[in-house]
Amino acid sequence: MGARKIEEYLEVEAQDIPSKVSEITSKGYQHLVTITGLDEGENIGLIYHFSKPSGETIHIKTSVKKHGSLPSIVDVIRGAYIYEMEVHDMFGIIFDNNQWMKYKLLLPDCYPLDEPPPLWKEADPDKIRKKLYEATSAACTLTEPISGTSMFSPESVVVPFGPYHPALKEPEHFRLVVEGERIVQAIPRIGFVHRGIEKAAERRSFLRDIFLLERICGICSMHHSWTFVEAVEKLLGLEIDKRAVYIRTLVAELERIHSHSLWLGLVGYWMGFETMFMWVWSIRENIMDLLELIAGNRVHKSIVTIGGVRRDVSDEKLGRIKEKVASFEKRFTEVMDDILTLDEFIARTSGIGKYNLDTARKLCVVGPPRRAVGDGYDIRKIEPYGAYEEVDYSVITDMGGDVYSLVKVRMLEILESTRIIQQIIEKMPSGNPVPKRAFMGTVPKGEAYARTEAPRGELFYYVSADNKHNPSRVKVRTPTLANITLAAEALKGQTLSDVPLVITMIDPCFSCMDRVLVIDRSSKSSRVLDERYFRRIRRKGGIR
Amino acid sequence: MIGIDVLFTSLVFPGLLFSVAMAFWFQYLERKIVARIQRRIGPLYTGPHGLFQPLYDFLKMLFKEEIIPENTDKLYYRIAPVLAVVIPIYGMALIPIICYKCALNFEGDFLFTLFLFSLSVFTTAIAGYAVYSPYSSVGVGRLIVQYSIYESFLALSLAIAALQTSIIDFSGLLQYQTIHGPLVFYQPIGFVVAIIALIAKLEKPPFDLPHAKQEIVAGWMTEYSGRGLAFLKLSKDLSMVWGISLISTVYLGGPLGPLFPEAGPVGLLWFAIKCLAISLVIIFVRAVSGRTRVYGLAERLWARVIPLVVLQFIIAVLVRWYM
Repeated sequence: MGARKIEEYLEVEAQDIPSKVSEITSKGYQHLVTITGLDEGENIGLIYHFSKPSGETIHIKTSVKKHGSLPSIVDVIRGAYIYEMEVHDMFGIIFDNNQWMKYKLLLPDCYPLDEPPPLWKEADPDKIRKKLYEATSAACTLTEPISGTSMFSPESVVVPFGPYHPALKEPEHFRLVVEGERIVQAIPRIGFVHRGIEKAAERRSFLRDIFLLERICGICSMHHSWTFVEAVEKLLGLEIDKRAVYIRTLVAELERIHSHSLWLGLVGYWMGFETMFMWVWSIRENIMDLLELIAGNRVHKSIVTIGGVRRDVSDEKLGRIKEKVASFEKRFTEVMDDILTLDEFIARTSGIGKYNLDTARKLCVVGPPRRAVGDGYDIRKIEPYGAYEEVDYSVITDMGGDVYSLVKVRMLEILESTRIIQQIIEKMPSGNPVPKRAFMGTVPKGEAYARTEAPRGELFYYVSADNKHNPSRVKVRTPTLANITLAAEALKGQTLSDVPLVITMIDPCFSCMDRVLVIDRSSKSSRVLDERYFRRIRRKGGIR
Repeated sequence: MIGIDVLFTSLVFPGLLFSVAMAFWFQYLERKIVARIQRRIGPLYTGPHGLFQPLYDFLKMLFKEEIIPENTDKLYYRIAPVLAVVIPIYGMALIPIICYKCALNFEGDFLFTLFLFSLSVFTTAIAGYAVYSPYSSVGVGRLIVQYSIYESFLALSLAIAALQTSIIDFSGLLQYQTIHGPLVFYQPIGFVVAIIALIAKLEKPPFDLPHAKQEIVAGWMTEYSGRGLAFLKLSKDLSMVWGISLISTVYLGGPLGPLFPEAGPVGLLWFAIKCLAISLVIIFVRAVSGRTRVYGLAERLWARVIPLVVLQFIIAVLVRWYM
């Protein structure tokens, strides 16, 4: 259910979008999943994916002339502004009355004006890259000052935060408008590590896309490949072996534990509590060992393939996993009790980055940040996929809506995951999960979406195929992109010294958001990873 | 005319050599214990159980390249690390470790130590401000805020010790404690407050704001490298040795114990045991706490600690009255 073929659209004229959207939201479809852009030759097609909090989707489709404009839906759904910015960057569509249209989100500021936007079919990556290299001598990341504009009082000052800052592990940039120590407005700017994955996915075969998309994120890599494969399997109409489904679910839950405990350690680190960091990461190491035992790899598991999994897990290994997960659960409970009752920890985290349920809903927040204000929005529960229908677990919610309750939610989710793993291993059916041959064929014409509950929240994929070996469009909406609006919102009213903690709150994975662009500015040896590059490495024996 | 015993006191025991050795020992202890609490191994390879790792690190850093940033006040940049090392060693030489009187003693050396304490903070401030860098200036800013908070009750609690005994030199303090027993029995609150202040002075968690690496890189010592950094790091460990020795002398009676002063060197043993106990407390607190927020600092320290000091003051006056 987490994935489905898109059979029908609600076709709407571009001018009627806001009224149609408010009609839809009043019917209960309040969650805007994302806005997908499609290059349809003359026009740009826009698909608005909506979902009910209880899990039904509806897709509105409209089309706009290239370089055209249409009304924005920010007034109806506040969180839409980030998706509109993305579409604006990638397809050159202008959304009227979206006040952020003049800022770029993903593209560099020196993107050549005479070139088409990067996701148009006629955009030539090599040409754009060449022009960008000539332009990089100009400052690419400097942004126009926004103090003194009508939006803020003249006393406000803009403090740049990032992209290179000792508190950040990934390059991202926040423009913090401050009055004194207090932040009045925070404007996110991402796109510093774009690799052009969505564009690259259109040029590769489906099988190779799995490995490409897996590399969007190092932490939730398995969820990316799984979500993509779910969508492709719906297009192909494949039935999957039961054991393969169970193995996928097992790896996904191990990944959730590993991702959440990584975040917990980092929270300890940001607040200067290094012992917590060391404790949590040392027990996380057990889970990493298990992932290595199952897949042979610690980070990029590469376990999912179209039609099943790439490796079976023997019953003897399953026994060992069960044992280790049980001992992990015991040690983790001890650490959890220690941390959650520590006065200092409570003083440092509770009340920081406060937000409420209404804000979370308006901004279309997903994952733990949404559950930390009492909304049980969990794709595993509302649209069960994998083996989640057959195991017993509960969705963790909390009412706090601050860093402390997010820590609590994620910790309890780890314990729920250990419960799921135990049940999966007990119920593991026998069968042959590994398909005889890797999928090399064509995929019939059609469109499908898939969504899964990645550790950071709802992960959304839209795949469209056209009787070819490669997809005609792959759209990825990572959970961090949905949640970044919350981080920007929660920063308002905080002091500068709490900035790292509030940004970490959503478990940001900035590099995951950056994936659509066609250039890599970071290395001088201009190389988007293309086919020839991989062939050459393979010949040298770099990749086996 | 400088006597040979004065030279010995200042250069070997308990001056330069002894305090540097103790500094490395405490650093080793801290690294090893914190590592064990954090479920790591800690120093292991250099020397037995990694005992010589701090010494090795220090020597290695001496030979590293030193980078001096532009717009640096070179004089202060050079002098500050040296001063930072000299002051704790000088302070150490005043503390009686194996006898009632050390060779450098004079009337009022206990009060003089308080002055040296403030001076050592001054040297770190110089070290930070010598360089033109935002991280070091924010670090020094935080350092001074923190100093103004902890210094008040560190000085107060030590002054209360002097008040009860009516004595301002170390040998007198030791003699008082020989007769009446260790001061910690009369001033337990003052003892605890002094340890809290010492943790703040040593910039250890939860008071490691001046060099919070997640926020301001390495704070006031961000721009130091090579020799300068080696000396600054050494000076922090020396301060730890010095502060712990001071507290153990004032409150726990330093070398006092059975068989003292008949068998002189046995005093060193008692002294070492007391210092070890205090250092273990400090290391444990350091390992299990996170950093305080800048805004919480004054509230946590002043609002909670100053009333305790006042209480201790009243007790000390009463004790003095009836004894």
